[in-house]
Parts: sequence; C-alpha cells; structure tokens
Amino acid sequence: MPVPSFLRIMIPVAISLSCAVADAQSGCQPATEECDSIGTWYFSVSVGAGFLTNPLASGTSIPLIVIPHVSYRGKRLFVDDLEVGVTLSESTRHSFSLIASPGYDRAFFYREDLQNVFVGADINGAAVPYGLTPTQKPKVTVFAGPEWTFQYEGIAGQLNWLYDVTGRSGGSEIRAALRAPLLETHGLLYISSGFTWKSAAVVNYYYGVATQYSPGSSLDPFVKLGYSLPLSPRWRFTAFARYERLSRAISDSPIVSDQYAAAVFAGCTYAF
Amino acid sequence: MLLRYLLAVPTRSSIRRNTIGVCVAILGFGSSGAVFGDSMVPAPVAELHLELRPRLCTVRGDEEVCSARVEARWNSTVGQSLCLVIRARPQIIHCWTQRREGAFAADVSFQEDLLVELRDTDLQHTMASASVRVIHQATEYRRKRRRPWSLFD
Repeated sequence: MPVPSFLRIMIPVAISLSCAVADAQSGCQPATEECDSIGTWYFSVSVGAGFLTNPLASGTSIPLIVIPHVSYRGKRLFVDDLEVGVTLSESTRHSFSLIASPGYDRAFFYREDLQNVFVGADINGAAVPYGLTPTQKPKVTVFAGPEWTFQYEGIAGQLNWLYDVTGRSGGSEIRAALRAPLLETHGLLYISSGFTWKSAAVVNYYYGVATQYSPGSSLDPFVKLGYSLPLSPRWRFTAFARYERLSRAISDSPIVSDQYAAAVFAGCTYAF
Repeated sequence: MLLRYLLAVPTRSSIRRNTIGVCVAILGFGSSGAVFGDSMVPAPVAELHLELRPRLCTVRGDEEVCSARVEARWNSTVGQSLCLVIRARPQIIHCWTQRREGAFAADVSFQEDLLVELRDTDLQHTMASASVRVIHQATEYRRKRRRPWSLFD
C-alpha cells in the first residue's frame, strides 16, 4: 500500500521536530498560569440547556444538555474529549503536536455519532440520518496531522492541518482560530474567531450528491462569544454563542438548507 | 563512641549509664579481636535488628501527606526489655519485656522521614533505629491546551 504523500511529508517533519526539541518544557507555573499536572486525568460535565442547529434540509437541531468532558495530560501524550495527540515541542508560548481528531460534520447526519453522545436522548438509537441521504452515508472519519497552538498576553491561537487518515474522503481540513479576552473580572468574557477550510474531497464526501452536485472546497468562518464564571473550586458557570457561516460549496448542496450552523449553551460545569 | 564514654566526666545521674556504655564498648572491642585473659569469658554481644515496612513512601509535591500502615519487626540474639517509639508521634509507644523478637504496626500520617526507635524501658537509650523515608516527587505541569476552534473550549 503506497504511503500517502501527506504522510511522506509529515513523518520526517515530525521526527525532526521531535529530535530537535525533545527536551523543551512549558515551565508552567500553576500559581500564575492555567496548568495541568502531568499524568492526570481530568473529568468534568456540563449540564444546562442549548442546541446546535443542523444545516441539513429536514435536519433537526442537536440538543446540548449534558456534555461530558475528559482530558489527560502526559509528558507528551494528551487527550481532549475525542482528540488525542502527541506533543513534539512545547515552550512557554508555543506548542507543536501531532493530533488525531474526528471529522465533525458527521454529527449532522447521525444522532448516534460519538460526538453527540450525552447531548440528547435518542429514542431507538438507530442510525437514522438527520437529513436527506447524500450519495453515500458518511462514515466515521479521523483526521490527523500537525497542530500549532500559541498563547501570548491572554490571546490563544490554534492552527491544525489535518488529513483524513481513514481514506474515506481522501481530503484534508485546516482548522484555525484565535481567542481573546474581552472583559476579565471575577469571570471571563471572551471572543473566539476562526475558520474551517475543507478540501473539495471532504466537502464532496459529506455534502455531494452523485450526478447532481460536486462541490469544490469550502471556507467557513465562525465567531464565538463566551463567558465563564467560577462559582466554587469545582463549579463553574459557562455560556457561549457560536455562529458559523457556511460557504456556498456547502450551502448550495441539495441536502443543505441553511447557510449557517449556530450553537448556544448556558449551564454549569462540574469538575470531578 | 568509645572515646565519648571514656572521656566524659561522669555526673551523679550518668554514672550508671556510662558504666554500662564502657562495658558495652569494651565488649564490642572484645568481639572484634581485643585480647582478654584466659579467665575472662566475654558475654555474648546482643545483636538487635529492627526492620520497617514500608521503607519508602512516595508523595507528589510538597503538600501531600504519606499515610501508611507502618509495620515494625525486631529481633535480638538475647532476650531484652525494649520499647518501640515513633519519634514524631510520642503517643505511640509499645513495650516488650524480656523478649527476643517483637512486632508492632500503626497507621501513621507523616510528611517527613518517620524515625522509629527501639529504646530501653526507661526510654533513655536508643538501642536501634530505622526510618521510613519520604520521597517528594515534584509535580510537573504543562500548560493547558487551548482549543479556540473547538465548540466547547
């Protein structure tokens, strides 16, 4: 089986980065910064009310009611919900990692998708598509590739270049975002903004319709406003509203009816 | 040790102790090759052995406390009357009378090395000691991974 060109590039890059900066440490100071202790699993659950709109025609919104979170920090390995990764280099401001992350679009098609676990009750648990069935029913996809995150004066950034390693779409995604504090008192009001770029292969895999619609690549910008207020060492109030504008490549699809995907949520998070 | 006993000026209360000390010191030399007259038959040297379990306790960071059931076992080549004392917990004390071995266990919480001693019944002399070492492993931290792209970051 030939090695995809993507991996032919990434493997040497990963090895080089790993060797060059193997001893780099973040030097996180827990008294002054937001740090995780190495070797620790973190569990929390958010309980509240909210929804994520479904842009698919005849699709119904996805309720956001109970949202579990799990994360782990090893010296290099990390887990964040459905994402796993290995940190190759880490400094006080920058971090370079290789990550694997699911393709999130499938959540619009199937209620039982892993990303929708706990967010709402499914009556029969069957794989019922939310909307019109495209040419092929989207299966679970896993995207993998490099990630660069940085933090500077309260501003956090993330840039992922991911490739569908399951080979189902054969495409790639770029995920990028910035987050900045707007008002920081006892709580924190912040804004995030970024975009998702999907290659034509990915867009076609999810939103294409055979002989009818073969979309090109898409660039979908989003903006999010969030608020987080610590109530006690374990309880925190959380609220956010997120609006993502879908490109014409997606919204012109016969199986899509909306030009956006929006999410709102307000509730409390308990950290175990 | 021998010099300490030989050079110390005896006080009224320390005469008995020092006498014993000198005897023990001489006997110790005897057993290691000092010359005695044919008529002198040295008494057997008491070998006292104290062992603790666990020997180590590892805690993360400086704040955490080591809580463990510490088991002490001792044995001697001659019968002895001894008391087991935990230096940092004076309320914990257990004594034996003319025994050649003994065992004792206690649940203890401690942050620094736990010193356990076998003393004479007057609690004046330490006959043997051992300690449970506390190893503080520094907690390492990493910066939280920020995911501004994610819906739930």
